Amino acid sequence: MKSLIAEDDFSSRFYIKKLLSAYGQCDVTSDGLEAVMAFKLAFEEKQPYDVIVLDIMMPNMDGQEALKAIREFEQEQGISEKDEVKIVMATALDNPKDVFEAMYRGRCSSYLVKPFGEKKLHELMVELRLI
Amino acid sequence: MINTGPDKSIKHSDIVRLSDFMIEETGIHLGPDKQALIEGRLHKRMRELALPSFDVYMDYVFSPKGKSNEIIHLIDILTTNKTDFFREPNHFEYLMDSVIPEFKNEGEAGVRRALNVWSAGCSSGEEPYTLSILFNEFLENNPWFRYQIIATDISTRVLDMAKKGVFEIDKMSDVPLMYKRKYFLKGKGENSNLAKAIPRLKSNILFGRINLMEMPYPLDITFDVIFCRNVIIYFKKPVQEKVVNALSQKLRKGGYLFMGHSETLTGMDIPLERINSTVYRKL
Repeated sequence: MKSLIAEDDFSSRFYIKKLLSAYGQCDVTSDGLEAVMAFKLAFEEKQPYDVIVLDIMMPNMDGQEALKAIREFEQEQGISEKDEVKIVMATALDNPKDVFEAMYRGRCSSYLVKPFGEKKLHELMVELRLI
Repeated sequence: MINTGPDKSIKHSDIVRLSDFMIEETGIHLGPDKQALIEGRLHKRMRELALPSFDVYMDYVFSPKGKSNEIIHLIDILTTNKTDFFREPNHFEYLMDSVIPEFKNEGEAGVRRALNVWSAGCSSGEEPYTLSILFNEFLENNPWFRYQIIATDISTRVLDMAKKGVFEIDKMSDVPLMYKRKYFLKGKGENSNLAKAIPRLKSNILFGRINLMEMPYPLDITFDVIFCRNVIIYFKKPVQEKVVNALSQKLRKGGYLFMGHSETLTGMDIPLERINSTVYRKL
């Protein structure tokens, strides 16, 4: 399983990276813009990500915008909904408005409320059929 | 008439005298902006010693007995120590993403040596404990990894705090909650605002007092990494250069020196290669 993290806070990024590295290659970026670039690059190299964890609040481009950009790109490429990359939104605040926006407009696959541990992440990976 | 008690005011000339004394003994330059802070702290010290006036305190400081006994307290009083967990996170990221992988590739076979890190000017311990959290996390997936952190400061007051490893939870906002749960024990009752580092976090940190002005440093090891952040800003330029050279002597070839964000080493005659504005490497 190949994963990508977009998280602007180093300690959180370090923490999530360690959790996801247990499942395979895990790349990190520190904002939404970098994440979209990394996603496109991996797609072009035909080594796409299986899952992307996007923090919602980030500088340059936030998680919502990155989610939108990735879904738009997939549409342009003619990728069917079932082959879309799994995108998990991570939010520090249990903010229903953000989650609603991401789930229904942005079509994210799921969300994680920070802080989350190994168990929660594992359950989600199973739920998303990534492992 | 209101009885104001004995004269406890501090004369400007005394501050100047103390400042000169501090530069001579510690290299620490007390700027004029620090005067109010210094006065406040000196008053507190006088109360602790139950001295009637500042003149009496000054006489004590400059007496032979005072010079040997009081200097260490003066240093504690006059040096400011602001620090946070995960301060300047790009340094920790560079350490974990570039320095450690390099160390990992250094020698696959045989017995691995420990990574030696010096936290020079560790203050109340946030920096060495941050390092210890990161190293403990790394260790879980890399059981071969061994490390040793030497944490030093000029101030015994902050060193005592660092050794205890007890922190105010309010000041730990940069520590992810999962790490707080994993590496700290929350106090109970009246200590519920405090968190204590677990023994595992402390076990590879050695604390000791080192005055960076007293060279060479009493450490018989060379380091892979030295953190000396926001320490030399208190020194004047020529002293800074001396300190950086002395620190460099304690770095192994290819070892890294991390400096504070406002501490440029540009123009100094030092055996270091500049990686970026705050990261340097021993030639």
